[in-house]
Amino acid sequence: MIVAALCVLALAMLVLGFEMLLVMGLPAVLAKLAFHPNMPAVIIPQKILGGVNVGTLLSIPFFIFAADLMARGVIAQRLTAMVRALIGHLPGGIGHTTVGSCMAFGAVCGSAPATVAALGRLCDPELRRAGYPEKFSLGLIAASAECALLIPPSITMIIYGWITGTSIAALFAGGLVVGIVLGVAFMALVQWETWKVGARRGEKPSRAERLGAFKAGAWALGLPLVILGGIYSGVFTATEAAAVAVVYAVFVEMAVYRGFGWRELVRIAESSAVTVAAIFILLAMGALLSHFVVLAGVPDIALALVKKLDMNWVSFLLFVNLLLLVAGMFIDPNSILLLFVPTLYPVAAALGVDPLHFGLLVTLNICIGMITPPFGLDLFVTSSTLRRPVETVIRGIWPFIGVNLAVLVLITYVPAISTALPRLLL
Amino acid sequence: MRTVLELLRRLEGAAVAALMIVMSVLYAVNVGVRELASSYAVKFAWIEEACLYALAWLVFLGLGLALEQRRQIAMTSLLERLARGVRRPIKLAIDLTGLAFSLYIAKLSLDITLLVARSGQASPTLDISTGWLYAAMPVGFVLLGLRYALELFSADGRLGVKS
Repeated sequence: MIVAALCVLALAMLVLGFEMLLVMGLPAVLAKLAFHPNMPAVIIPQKILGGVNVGTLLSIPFFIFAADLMARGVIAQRLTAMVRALIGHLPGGIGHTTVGSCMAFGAVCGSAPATVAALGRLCDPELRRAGYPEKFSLGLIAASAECALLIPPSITMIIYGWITGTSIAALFAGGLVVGIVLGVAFMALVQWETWKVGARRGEKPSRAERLGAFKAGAWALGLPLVILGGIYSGVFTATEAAAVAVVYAVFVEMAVYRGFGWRELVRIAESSAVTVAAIFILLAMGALLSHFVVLAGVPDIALALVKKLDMNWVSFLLFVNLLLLVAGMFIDPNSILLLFVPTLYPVAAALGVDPLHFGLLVTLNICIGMITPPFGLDLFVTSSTLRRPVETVIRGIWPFIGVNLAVLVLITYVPAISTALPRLLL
Repeated sequence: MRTVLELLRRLEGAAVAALMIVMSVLYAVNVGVRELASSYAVKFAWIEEACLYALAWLVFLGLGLALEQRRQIAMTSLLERLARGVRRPIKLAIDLTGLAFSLYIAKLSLDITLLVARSGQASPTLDISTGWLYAAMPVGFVLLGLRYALELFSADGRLGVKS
Protein backbone atom coordinates (compact mmCIF):
# COMPACT_ATOMS: atom_id res chain seq x y z
CA MET A 1 0.00 0.00 0.00
CA ILE A 2 2.68 2.47 1.07
CA VAL A 3 4.87 1.22 -1.78
CA ALA A 4 2.08 1.97 -4.27
CA ALA A 5 1.61 5.44 -2.76
CA LEU A 6 5.34 6.16 -3.12
CA CYS A 7 5.30 5.01 -6.75
CA VAL A 8 2.35 7.29 -7.49
CA LEU A 9 4.13 10.16 -5.73
CA ALA A 10 7.29 9.62 -7.78
CA LEU A 11 5.33 9.45 -11.01
CA ALA A 12 3.36 12.60 -10.17
CA MET A 13 6.57 14.47 -9.31
CA LEU A 14 8.16 13.29 -12.57
CA VAL A 15 5.26 14.42 -14.72
CA LEU A 16 4.88 17.76 -12.94
CA GLY A 17 8.49 18.71 -13.66
CA PHE A 18 10.21 18.21 -10.30
CA GLU A 19 13.98 17.89 -10.66
CA MET A 20 14.97 14.21 -11.09
CA LEU A 21 17.09 14.43 -7.95
CA LEU A 22 13.86 15.07 -6.00
CA VAL A 23 11.91 12.45 -7.98
CA MET A 24 14.42 9.80 -6.87
CA GLY A 25 15.51 11.24 -3.54
CA LEU A 26 12.24 12.10 -1.84
CA PRO A 27 10.49 8.69 -2.23
CA ALA A 28 13.72 7.02 -1.04
CA VAL A 29 13.81 9.20 2.10
CA LEU A 30 10.10 8.58 2.73
CA ALA A 31 10.60 4.83 2.28
CA LYS A 32 13.35 4.91 4.91
CA LEU A 33 11.10 6.80 7.35
CA ALA A 34 8.10 4.52 6.71
CA PHE A 35 9.70 1.07 6.59
CA HIS A 36 12.95 1.39 8.52
CA PRO A 37 12.31 3.98 11.24
CA ASN A 38 14.90 2.40 13.51
CA MET A 39 17.68 2.40 10.94
CA PRO A 40 20.13 5.25 11.74
CA ALA A 41 19.33 8.25 9.52
CA VAL A 42 22.98 8.68 8.53
CA ILE A 43 22.47 5.77 6.13
CA ILE A 44 20.93 8.39 3.79
CA PRO A 45 23.98 10.64 3.31
CA GLN A 46 26.18 7.53 3.33
CA LYS A 47 24.34 6.03 0.35
CA ILE A 48 24.28 9.41 -1.43
CA LEU A 49 28.04 9.75 -1.12
CA GLY A 50 28.40 6.09 -2.07
CA GLY A 51 26.94 6.89 -5.50
CA VAL A 52 29.63 9.49 -6.16
CA ASN A 53 32.73 8.13 -4.44
CA VAL A 54 33.29 5.28 -6.93
CA GLY A 55 36.55 4.67 -8.79
CA THR A 56 34.89 3.32 -11.97
CA LEU A 57 32.71 6.41 -12.31
CA LEU A 58 35.71 8.73 -12.28
CA SER A 59 35.98 8.22 -16.05
CA ILE A 60 32.67 10.05 -16.62
CA PRO A 61 33.83 13.59 -15.71
CA PHE A 62 36.95 13.09 -17.81
CA PHE A 63 35.01 11.90 -20.86
CA ILE A 64 32.51 14.78 -20.48
CA PHE A 65 35.29 17.34 -20.20
CA ALA A 66 37.14 15.88 -23.21
CA ALA A 67 33.93 15.89 -25.28
CA ASP A 68 33.16 19.53 -24.40
CA LEU A 69 36.71 20.56 -25.28
CA MET A 70 36.46 18.86 -28.66
CA ALA A 71 32.95 20.12 -29.39
CA ARG A 72 34.07 23.75 -28.95
CA GLY A 73 37.40 23.32 -30.67
CA VAL A 74 38.32 22.12 -34.14
CA ILE A 75 38.87 18.37 -33.65
CA ALA A 76 35.29 17.61 -34.80
CA GLN A 77 35.84 19.69 -37.94
CA ARG A 78 39.08 17.92 -38.83
CA LEU A 79 37.55 14.47 -38.32
CA THR A 80 34.62 15.39 -40.59
CA ALA A 81 36.97 16.72 -43.28
CA MET A 82 38.84 13.41 -43.23
CA VAL A 83 35.72 11.29 -43.57
CA ARG A 84 34.51 13.51 -46.42
CA ALA A 85 37.84 13.18 -48.24
CA LEU A 86 37.46 9.40 -48.00
CA ILE A 87 33.82 8.82 -48.98
CA GLY A 88 32.27 12.21 -49.90
CA HIS A 89 32.45 11.61 -53.66
CA LEU A 90 30.58 8.28 -53.62
CA PRO A 91 26.84 8.19 -54.45
CA GLY A 92 25.13 9.49 -51.30
CA GLY A 93 28.58 10.47 -50.10
CA ILE A 94 27.57 13.56 -48.14
CA GLY A 95 24.91 11.59 -46.26
CA HIS A 96 27.37 8.78 -45.56
CA THR A 97 29.90 11.38 -44.44
CA THR A 98 27.41 12.56 -41.80
CA VAL A 99 26.94 9.04 -40.42
CA GLY A 100 30.66 8.29 -40.66
CA SER A 101 31.64 11.54 -38.93
CA CYS A 102 29.23 10.84 -36.09
CA MET A 103 30.77 7.38 -35.72
CA ALA A 104 34.31 8.82 -35.78
CA PHE A 105 33.42 11.55 -33.31
CA GLY A 106 31.56 8.96 -31.23
CA ALA A 107 34.85 7.14 -30.88
CA VAL A 108 36.23 10.05 -28.89
CA CYS A 109 33.08 11.27 -27.18
CA GLY A 110 30.46 9.37 -25.20
CA SER A 111 27.51 11.70 -25.43
CA ALA A 112 24.90 11.99 -28.19
CA PRO A 113 23.88 15.61 -27.48
CA ALA A 114 27.55 16.68 -27.59
CA THR A 115 27.85 14.95 -30.97
CA VAL A 116 24.82 16.78 -32.37
CA ALA A 117 26.22 20.07 -31.10
CA ALA A 118 29.66 19.41 -32.56
CA LEU A 119 28.66 18.02 -35.95
CA GLY A 120 25.19 19.40 -36.68
CA ARG A 121 26.36 22.80 -37.85
CA LEU A 122 29.07 21.23 -40.01
CA CYS A 123 26.93 18.63 -41.76
CA ASP A 124 23.55 20.31 -42.20
CA PRO A 125 24.55 22.95 -44.79
CA GLU A 126 26.39 20.34 -46.87
CA LEU A 127 23.47 17.93 -46.80
CA ARG A 128 21.14 20.69 -47.97
CA ARG A 129 23.55 21.73 -50.73
CA ALA A 130 23.71 18.13 -51.96
CA GLY A 131 19.94 18.22 -52.39
CA TYR A 132 18.58 16.31 -49.39
CA PRO A 133 15.28 17.69 -48.02
CA GLU A 134 15.49 19.70 -44.79
CA LYS A 135 13.61 17.16 -42.68
CA PHE A 136 15.82 14.29 -43.87
CA SER A 137 18.96 16.26 -43.05
CA LEU A 138 17.74 17.08 -39.54
CA GLY A 139 16.54 13.52 -38.90
CA LEU A 140 19.83 12.10 -40.12
CA ILE A 141 21.86 14.33 -37.80
CA ALA A 142 19.72 13.61 -34.73
CA ALA A 143 19.74 9.86 -35.39
CA SER A 144 23.41 9.44 -36.37
CA ALA A 145 24.48 11.04 -33.11
CA GLU A 146 23.17 7.92 -31.35
CA CYS A 147 26.17 6.04 -32.65
CA ALA A 148 28.21 8.10 -30.17
CA LEU A 149 26.33 6.47 -27.32
CA LEU A 150 27.13 2.99 -28.60
CA ILE A 151 30.64 3.39 -29.99
CA PRO A 152 33.07 3.53 -27.08
CA PRO A 153 33.62 5.50 -24.95
CA SER A 154 30.01 5.61 -23.75
CA ILE A 155 28.82 7.20 -20.53
CA THR A 156 25.65 5.08 -20.58
CA MET A 157 27.70 1.88 -20.61
CA ILE A 158 29.98 3.07 -17.80
CA ILE A 159 26.92 3.62 -15.61
CA TYR A 160 25.42 0.25 -16.62
CA GLY A 161 28.75 -1.40 -15.81
CA TRP A 162 28.78 0.23 -12.38
CA ILE A 163 25.20 -0.81 -11.54
CA THR A 164 25.60 -4.42 -12.66
CA GLY A 165 29.31 -5.08 -12.13
CA THR A 166 29.81 -5.88 -15.83
CA SER A 167 33.27 -5.26 -17.32
CA ILE A 168 33.35 -1.83 -18.94
CA ALA A 169 36.03 -2.87 -21.44
CA ALA A 170 33.79 -5.76 -22.56
CA LEU A 171 30.74 -3.47 -22.85
CA PHE A 172 32.81 -1.05 -24.92
CA ALA A 173 33.89 -3.84 -27.30
CA GLY A 174 30.29 -5.02 -27.75
CA GLY A 175 29.16 -1.42 -28.23
CA LEU A 176 31.64 -0.96 -31.04
CA VAL A 177 30.00 -3.78 -33.03
CA VAL A 178 26.43 -2.70 -32.29
CA GLY A 179 27.33 0.93 -33.11
CA ILE A 180 28.75 -0.13 -36.46
CA VAL A 181 25.67 -2.26 -37.23
CA LEU A 182 23.46 0.75 -36.49
CA GLY A 183 25.66 3.09 -38.54
CA VAL A 184 25.56 0.75 -41.54
CA ALA A 185 21.76 0.49 -41.23
CA PHE A 186 21.52 4.29 -41.31
CA MET A 187 23.79 4.34 -44.36
CA ALA A 188 21.39 1.99 -46.12
CA LEU A 189 18.60 4.45 -45.43
CA VAL A 190 20.78 7.29 -46.77
CA GLN A 191 21.35 5.30 -49.96
CA TRP A 192 17.61 4.81 -50.42
CA GLU A 193 16.95 8.55 -49.91
CA THR A 194 19.78 9.42 -52.30
CA TRP A 195 18.15 7.43 -55.10
CA LYS A 196 14.75 8.85 -54.28
CA VAL A 197 15.68 12.54 -54.34
CA GLY A 198 18.62 12.25 -56.74
CA ALA A 199 21.03 13.93 -54.34
CA ARG A 200 24.30 15.16 -55.82
CA ARG A 201 27.66 13.61 -54.97
CA GLY A 202 30.56 15.58 -53.64
CA GLU A 203 33.55 16.19 -55.95
CA LYS A 204 36.19 13.54 -55.96
CA PRO A 205 39.18 14.96 -54.10
CA SER A 206 42.61 14.72 -55.70
CA ARG A 207 45.25 12.62 -54.03
CA ALA A 208 46.92 15.79 -52.75
CA GLU A 209 43.66 17.03 -51.23
CA ARG A 210 43.12 13.72 -49.49
CA LEU A 211 46.63 13.73 -48.14
CA GLY A 212 46.09 17.31 -46.96
CA ALA A 213 42.90 16.39 -45.09
CA PHE A 214 44.64 13.51 -43.37
CA LYS A 215 47.68 15.61 -42.49
CA ALA A 216 45.45 18.32 -41.02
CA GLY A 217 43.49 15.74 -39.09
CA ALA A 218 46.33 13.49 -37.96
CA TRP A 219 46.39 14.94 -34.45
CA ALA A 220 42.61 14.58 -34.15
CA LEU A 221 42.86 10.98 -35.35
CA GLY A 222 45.37 10.30 -32.58
CA LEU A 223 42.61 10.62 -30.00
CA PRO A 224 40.56 7.50 -30.85
CA LEU A 225 43.84 5.63 -31.19
CA VAL A 226 44.85 6.70 -27.69
CA ILE A 227 41.47 5.83 -26.18
CA LEU A 228 40.67 2.53 -27.90
CA GLY A 229 44.24 1.41 -28.51
CA GLY A 230 45.16 2.21 -24.93
CA ILE A 231 42.25 0.31 -23.43
CA TYR A 232 42.52 -2.82 -25.58
CA SER A 233 46.30 -3.10 -25.51
CA GLY A 234 45.94 -3.13 -21.74
CA VAL A 235 48.04 0.02 -21.23
CA PHE A 236 45.15 2.06 -19.79
CA THR A 237 42.00 1.43 -17.84
CA ALA A 238 38.94 3.26 -19.18
CA THR A 239 39.37 5.97 -16.52
CA GLU A 240 43.03 6.47 -17.37
CA ALA A 241 42.23 6.65 -21.07
CA ALA A 242 39.64 9.32 -20.29
CA ALA A 243 42.09 11.47 -18.31
CA VAL A 244 44.73 11.11 -21.01
CA ALA A 245 42.08 12.08 -23.58
CA VAL A 246 41.45 15.35 -21.68
CA VAL A 247 45.11 16.29 -21.60
CA TYR A 248 45.55 15.25 -25.23
CA ALA A 249 42.48 17.27 -26.31
CA VAL A 250 43.72 20.36 -24.43
CA PHE A 251 47.15 19.97 -26.02
CA VAL A 252 45.83 19.48 -29.56
CA GLU A 253 43.18 22.23 -29.38
CA MET A 254 45.36 24.81 -27.63
CA ALA A 255 48.93 24.12 -28.72
CA VAL A 256 48.56 22.49 -32.16
CA TYR A 257 45.34 23.91 -33.67
CA ARG A 258 45.17 27.03 -31.47
CA GLY A 259 41.38 26.69 -31.35
CA PHE A 260 40.99 28.52 -28.01
CA GLY A 261 42.97 30.12 -25.17
CA TRP A 262 43.25 29.80 -21.38
CA ARG A 263 40.19 31.87 -20.55
CA GLU A 264 38.02 29.68 -22.80
CA LEU A 265 39.56 26.57 -21.21
CA VAL A 266 38.39 27.70 -17.76
CA ARG A 267 34.94 28.52 -19.11
CA ILE A 268 34.62 25.06 -20.68
CA ALA A 269 35.88 23.42 -17.47
CA GLU A 270 33.20 25.21 -15.45
CA SER A 271 30.46 24.26 -17.88
CA SER A 272 31.61 20.61 -17.93
CA ALA A 273 31.73 20.59 -14.13
CA VAL A 274 28.10 21.73 -13.90
CA THR A 275 27.11 18.97 -16.36
CA VAL A 276 29.01 16.48 -14.20
CA ALA A 277 27.22 17.72 -11.06
CA ALA A 278 23.82 17.34 -12.73
CA ILE A 279 24.61 13.74 -13.79
CA PHE A 280 26.29 12.63 -10.56
CA ILE A 281 23.53 13.87 -8.28
CA LEU A 282 21.30 11.45 -10.22
CA LEU A 283 23.81 8.65 -9.61
CA ALA A 284 23.87 9.61 -5.93
CA MET A 285 20.09 9.68 -5.55
CA GLY A 286 19.83 6.55 -7.70
CA ALA A 287 22.19 4.73 -5.32
CA LEU A 288 20.02 5.83 -2.39
CA LEU A 289 16.81 4.80 -4.12
CA SER A 290 18.06 1.42 -5.31
CA HIS A 291 19.20 0.60 -1.75
CA PHE A 292 15.61 0.85 -0.55
CA VAL A 293 14.20 -0.80 -3.70
CA VAL A 294 16.42 -3.83 -3.06
CA LEU A 295 15.62 -3.82 0.69
CA ALA A 296 11.93 -3.89 -0.19
CA GLY A 297 12.58 -7.00 -2.29
CA VAL A 298 11.30 -5.47 -5.54
CA PRO A 299 13.66 -7.52 -7.78
CA ASP A 300 12.42 -10.75 -6.10
CA ILE A 301 8.81 -9.71 -6.61
CA ALA A 302 9.54 -8.96 -10.27
CA LEU A 303 11.25 -12.33 -10.72
CA ALA A 304 8.35 -14.17 -9.07
CA LEU A 305 5.94 -12.38 -11.39
CA VAL A 306 7.98 -13.28 -14.47
CA LYS A 307 8.03 -16.95 -13.36
CA LYS A 308 4.31 -16.93 -12.69
CA LEU A 309 3.65 -15.55 -16.17
CA ASP A 310 5.89 -18.33 -17.48
CA MET A 311 8.09 -15.89 -19.40
CA ASN A 312 11.25 -17.12 -21.09
CA TRP A 313 14.13 -14.89 -22.16
CA VAL A 314 12.54 -14.18 -25.55
CA SER A 315 9.30 -12.81 -24.15
CA PHE A 316 11.07 -11.10 -21.22
CA LEU A 317 13.40 -9.17 -23.54
CA LEU A 318 10.43 -8.17 -25.67
CA PHE A 319 8.77 -6.85 -22.52
CA VAL A 320 11.98 -4.99 -21.54
CA ASN A 321 12.16 -3.44 -25.01
CA LEU A 322 8.58 -2.19 -24.82
CA LEU A 323 8.99 -0.89 -21.27
CA LEU A 324 12.21 0.99 -22.04
CA LEU A 325 10.88 2.37 -25.32
CA VAL A 326 7.92 3.92 -23.56
CA ALA A 327 10.05 5.13 -20.62
CA GLY A 328 12.62 6.52 -23.05
CA MET A 329 10.01 8.77 -24.65
CA PHE A 330 9.71 10.64 -21.36
CA ILE A 331 12.73 10.10 -19.09
CA ASP A 332 16.41 10.96 -19.61
CA PRO A 333 18.91 8.13 -20.29
CA ASN A 334 20.75 8.11 -16.97
CA SER A 335 17.55 8.14 -14.92
CA ILE A 336 16.23 5.20 -16.96
CA LEU A 337 19.30 3.16 -16.07
CA LEU A 338 19.04 4.05 -12.39
CA LEU A 339 15.28 3.48 -12.17
CA PHE A 340 14.95 0.21 -14.10
CA VAL A 341 18.24 -1.69 -14.30
CA PRO A 342 18.54 -2.58 -10.57
CA THR A 343 15.19 -4.41 -10.87
CA LEU A 344 15.41 -5.78 -14.42
CA TYR A 345 19.01 -6.98 -14.36
CA PRO A 346 18.59 -9.70 -11.68
CA VAL A 347 15.56 -11.03 -13.55
CA ALA A 348 17.46 -11.07 -16.85
CA ALA A 349 20.38 -12.84 -15.17
CA ALA A 350 18.01 -15.43 -13.65
CA LEU A 351 16.59 -16.13 -17.12
CA GLY A 352 20.10 -16.74 -18.45
CA VAL A 353 20.54 -13.53 -20.45
CA ASP A 354 24.21 -12.58 -20.83
CA PRO A 355 24.97 -9.37 -18.84
CA LEU A 356 26.82 -7.94 -21.84
CA HIS A 357 23.96 -8.69 -24.21
CA PHE A 358 21.48 -7.16 -21.76
CA GLY A 359 23.66 -4.04 -21.40
CA LEU A 360 23.79 -3.45 -25.13
CA LEU A 361 20.08 -4.02 -25.50
CA VAL A 362 19.39 -1.49 -22.73
CA THR A 363 21.80 1.02 -24.28
CA LEU A 364 20.22 0.64 -27.72
CA ASN A 365 16.78 1.15 -26.19
CA ILE A 366 18.04 4.31 -24.54
CA CYS A 367 19.40 5.47 -27.90
CA ILE A 368 16.01 5.03 -29.51
CA GLY A 369 14.39 6.88 -26.61
CA MET A 370 16.65 9.84 -27.33
CA ILE A 371 15.21 10.32 -30.81
CA THR A 372 11.59 9.33 -30.10
CA PRO A 373 8.98 12.08 -29.90
CA PRO A 374 7.62 13.77 -27.88
CA PHE A 375 10.58 14.27 -25.50
CA GLY A 376 13.62 12.63 -27.11
CA LEU A 377 16.56 14.78 -26.01
CA ASP A 378 18.40 14.67 -29.35
CA LEU A 379 15.37 16.14 -31.14
CA PHE A 380 15.55 19.23 -28.97
CA VAL A 381 19.32 19.53 -29.14
CA THR A 382 19.15 19.31 -32.94
CA SER A 383 16.39 21.90 -33.01
CA SER A 384 18.21 24.35 -30.74
CA THR A 385 21.68 23.85 -32.27
CA LEU A 386 20.46 24.37 -35.82
CA ARG A 387 17.69 26.83 -34.93
CA ARG A 388 14.92 24.92 -36.70
CA PRO A 389 11.46 24.09 -35.35
CA VAL A 390 11.41 20.81 -33.45
CA GLU A 391 8.36 19.78 -35.50
CA THR A 392 10.53 19.64 -38.65
CA VAL A 393 13.07 17.45 -36.86
CA ILE A 394 10.26 15.16 -35.73
CA ARG A 395 8.86 14.87 -39.28
CA GLY A 396 12.28 13.73 -40.45
CA ILE A 397 13.00 11.28 -37.65
CA TRP A 398 10.36 8.58 -38.32
CA PRO A 399 12.24 6.57 -40.99
CA PHE A 400 15.25 6.47 -38.67
CA ILE A 401 13.15 5.21 -35.78
CA GLY A 402 11.90 2.46 -38.09
CA VAL A 403 15.45 1.40 -39.01
CA ASN A 404 16.43 1.62 -35.37
CA LEU A 405 13.62 -0.71 -34.29
CA ALA A 406 14.69 -3.24 -36.92
CA VAL A 407 18.26 -3.12 -35.54
CA LEU A 408 16.85 -3.49 -32.02
CA VAL A 409 15.05 -6.71 -32.98
CA LEU A 410 18.27 -8.01 -34.55
CA ILE A 411 20.36 -7.18 -31.47
CA THR A 412 17.74 -8.59 -29.11
CA TYR A 413 17.41 -11.99 -30.76
CA VAL A 414 20.97 -12.50 -32.03
CA PRO A 415 23.00 -12.22 -28.82
CA ALA A 416 26.22 -13.15 -30.64
CA ILE A 417 26.38 -9.69 -32.26
CA SER A 418 26.87 -8.16 -28.82
CA THR A 419 29.04 -10.82 -27.25
CA ALA A 420 31.36 -12.15 -29.99
CA LEU A 421 33.96 -9.35 -30.09
CA PRO A 422 34.29 -8.96 -26.29
CA ARG A 423 34.86 -12.74 -26.02
CA LEU A 424 37.49 -12.56 -28.73
CA LEU A 425 39.34 -9.58 -27.23
CA LEU A 426 39.13 -10.18 -23.49
CA MET B 1 22.55 41.15 -1.61
CA ARG B 2 22.93 40.91 -5.37
CA THR B 3 26.69 41.46 -5.22
CA VAL B 4 27.03 38.84 -2.50
CA LEU B 5 25.23 36.33 -4.71
CA GLU B 6 27.34 37.29 -7.71
CA LEU B 7 30.49 36.78 -5.64
CA LEU B 8 29.23 33.38 -4.46
CA ARG B 9 28.48 32.41 -8.04
CA ARG B 10 31.99 33.31 -9.15
CA LEU B 11 33.55 31.44 -6.24
CA GLU B 12 31.54 28.31 -7.00
CA GLY B 13 32.33 28.58 -10.71
CA ALA B 14 36.05 29.09 -10.15
CA ALA B 15 36.16 26.24 -7.62
CA VAL B 16 34.46 23.64 -9.83
CA ALA B 17 36.50 24.69 -12.89
CA ALA B 18 39.73 24.40 -10.90
CA LEU B 19 38.73 20.99 -9.51
CA MET B 20 37.89 19.74 -13.02
CA ILE B 21 41.23 20.81 -14.47
CA VAL B 22 43.36 19.69 -11.51
CA MET B 23 41.66 16.27 -11.41
CA SER B 24 42.30 15.63 -15.09
CA VAL B 25 45.93 16.71 -14.96
CA LEU B 26 46.68 14.74 -11.77
CA TYR B 27 45.14 11.56 -13.14
CA ALA B 28 46.99 11.85 -16.45
CA VAL B 29 50.27 12.52 -14.61
CA ASN B 30 49.62 9.35 -12.63
CA VAL B 31 49.44 7.34 -15.87
CA GLY B 32 52.51 9.07 -17.27
CA VAL B 33 54.58 8.30 -14.18
CA ARG B 34 53.53 4.66 -14.20
CA GLU B 35 54.38 4.19 -17.86
CA LEU B 36 57.59 6.20 -17.97
CA ALA B 37 59.06 5.93 -14.48
CA SER B 38 57.34 3.03 -12.80
CA SER B 39 59.70 2.99 -9.83
CA TYR B 40 58.20 6.32 -8.69
CA ALA B 41 54.61 5.14 -9.09
CA VAL B 42 54.28 4.22 -5.41
CA LYS B 43 54.89 7.84 -4.48
CA PHE B 44 51.84 8.85 -6.51
CA ALA B 45 49.42 6.31 -5.05
CA TRP B 46 47.48 9.13 -3.37
CA ILE B 47 46.32 10.54 -6.71
CA GLU B 48 43.39 8.14 -7.25
CA GLU B 49 41.96 8.97 -3.84
CA ALA B 50 42.62 12.70 -4.20
CA CYS B 51 40.67 12.63 -7.47
CA LEU B 52 37.72 10.94 -5.77
CA TYR B 53 37.74 13.64 -3.07
CA ALA B 54 37.93 16.30 -5.79
CA LEU B 55 35.05 14.66 -7.67
CA ALA B 56 32.84 14.68 -4.56
CA TRP B 57 33.54 18.37 -3.97
CA LEU B 58 33.02 19.20 -7.65
CA VAL B 59 29.66 17.40 -7.72
CA PHE B 60 28.22 18.88 -4.53
CA LEU B 61 29.61 22.39 -5.10
CA GLY B 62 28.09 22.30 -8.59
CA LEU B 63 24.54 21.51 -7.41
CA GLY B 64 23.51 25.10 -6.76
CA LEU B 65 24.98 26.38 -10.01
CA ALA B 66 23.24 23.61 -11.94
CA LEU B 67 19.85 24.58 -10.50
CA GLU B 68 20.44 28.26 -11.12
CA GLN B 69 21.47 27.65 -14.74
CA ARG B 70 18.43 25.35 -15.25
CA ARG B 71 20.76 22.45 -15.89
CA GLN B 72 19.44 20.10 -13.22
CA ILE B 73 17.68 17.35 -15.13
CA ALA B 74 13.89 17.59 -15.00
CA MET B 75 11.05 16.68 -17.32
CA THR B 76 9.48 20.11 -17.72
CA SER B 77 7.76 19.65 -21.09
CA LEU B 78 4.30 19.29 -19.55
CA LEU B 79 4.81 22.07 -17.03
CA GLU B 80 5.81 24.50 -19.77
CA ARG B 81 2.57 23.84 -21.61
CA LEU B 82 0.29 24.52 -18.66
CA ALA B 83 -1.51 27.82 -18.17
CA ARG B 84 0.27 30.27 -15.91
CA GLY B 85 -2.38 30.02 -13.19
CA VAL B 86 -1.82 26.26 -12.88
CA ARG B 87 1.94 26.54 -13.21
CA ARG B 88 2.49 28.86 -10.26
CA PRO B 89 1.27 26.56 -7.48
CA ILE B 90 3.22 23.64 -9.01
CA LYS B 91 6.37 25.70 -9.13
CA LEU B 92 5.78 26.75 -5.54
CA ALA B 93 5.44 23.08 -4.55
CA ILE B 94 8.66 22.17 -6.39
CA ASP B 95 10.68 24.94 -4.76
CA LEU B 96 9.31 24.26 -1.27
CA THR B 97 9.98 20.53 -1.63
CA GLY B 98 13.46 21.24 -2.98
CA LEU B 99 14.24 23.60 -0.11
CA ALA B 100 13.00 21.21 2.59
CA PHE B 101 14.74 18.21 1.00
CA SER B 102 18.06 20.06 0.60
CA LEU B 103 18.06 21.28 4.19
CA TYR B 104 17.10 17.84 5.54
CA ILE B 105 19.92 16.14 3.63
CA ALA B 106 22.30 18.97 4.65
CA LYS B 107 21.44 18.34 8.30
CA LEU B 108 21.90 14.55 8.03
CA SER B 109 25.16 14.92 6.13
CA LEU B 110 26.47 17.43 8.67
CA ASP B 111 25.74 14.85 11.37
CA ILE B 112 27.70 12.15 9.61
CA THR B 113 30.54 14.55 8.74
CA LEU B 114 30.99 15.44 12.41
CA LEU B 115 30.67 11.78 13.39
CA VAL B 116 33.38 10.75 10.94
CA ALA B 117 35.61 13.70 11.83
CA ARG B 118 35.42 12.84 15.55
CA SER B 119 36.03 9.15 14.94
CA GLY B 120 39.52 10.01 13.69
CA GLN B 121 38.98 7.88 10.57
CA ALA B 122 41.62 8.88 8.03
CA SER B 123 41.99 8.24 4.32
CA PRO B 124 44.41 5.37 3.57
CA THR B 125 46.68 7.21 1.14
CA LEU B 126 46.01 10.92 1.64
CA ASP B 127 46.65 11.04 5.36
CA ILE B 128 43.80 13.46 6.04
CA SER B 129 40.52 12.93 7.88
CA THR B 130 37.74 11.23 5.88
CA GLY B 131 35.60 14.05 7.27
CA TRP B 132 36.92 16.20 4.39
CA LEU B 133 35.22 13.87 1.94
CA TYR B 134 31.88 13.96 3.78
CA ALA B 135 32.06 17.74 4.31
CA ALA B 136 31.33 18.32 0.61
CA MET B 137 27.74 17.19 1.17
CA PRO B 138 26.50 19.65 3.85
CA VAL B 139 28.15 22.51 1.94
CA GLY B 140 26.66 21.42 -1.38
CA PHE B 141 23.15 20.83 -0.10
CA VAL B 142 23.10 24.19 1.70
CA LEU B 143 24.08 25.84 -1.60
CA LEU B 144 21.32 23.90 -3.37
CA GLY B 145 18.81 24.86 -0.66
CA LEU B 146 19.83 28.50 -1.05
CA ARG B 147 19.04 28.33 -4.79
CA TYR B 148 15.63 26.76 -4.13
CA ALA B 149 14.95 29.55 -1.61
CA LEU B 150 15.95 32.17 -4.17
CA GLU B 151 13.61 30.57 -6.70
CA LEU B 152 10.82 31.00 -4.16
CA PHE B 153 11.46 34.69 -3.72
CA SER B 154 12.62 35.59 -7.21
CA ALA B 155 10.42 37.92 -9.20
CA ASP B 156 10.61 35.77 -12.29
CA GLY B 157 10.51 32.15 -11.33
CA ARG B 158 12.20 29.23 -13.01
CA LEU B 159 9.76 29.30 -15.89
CA GLY B 160 10.17 32.98 -16.48
CA VAL B 161 6.72 33.72 -15.04
CA LYS B 162 6.72 37.38 -14.07
CA SER B 163 4.97 38.08 -10.78
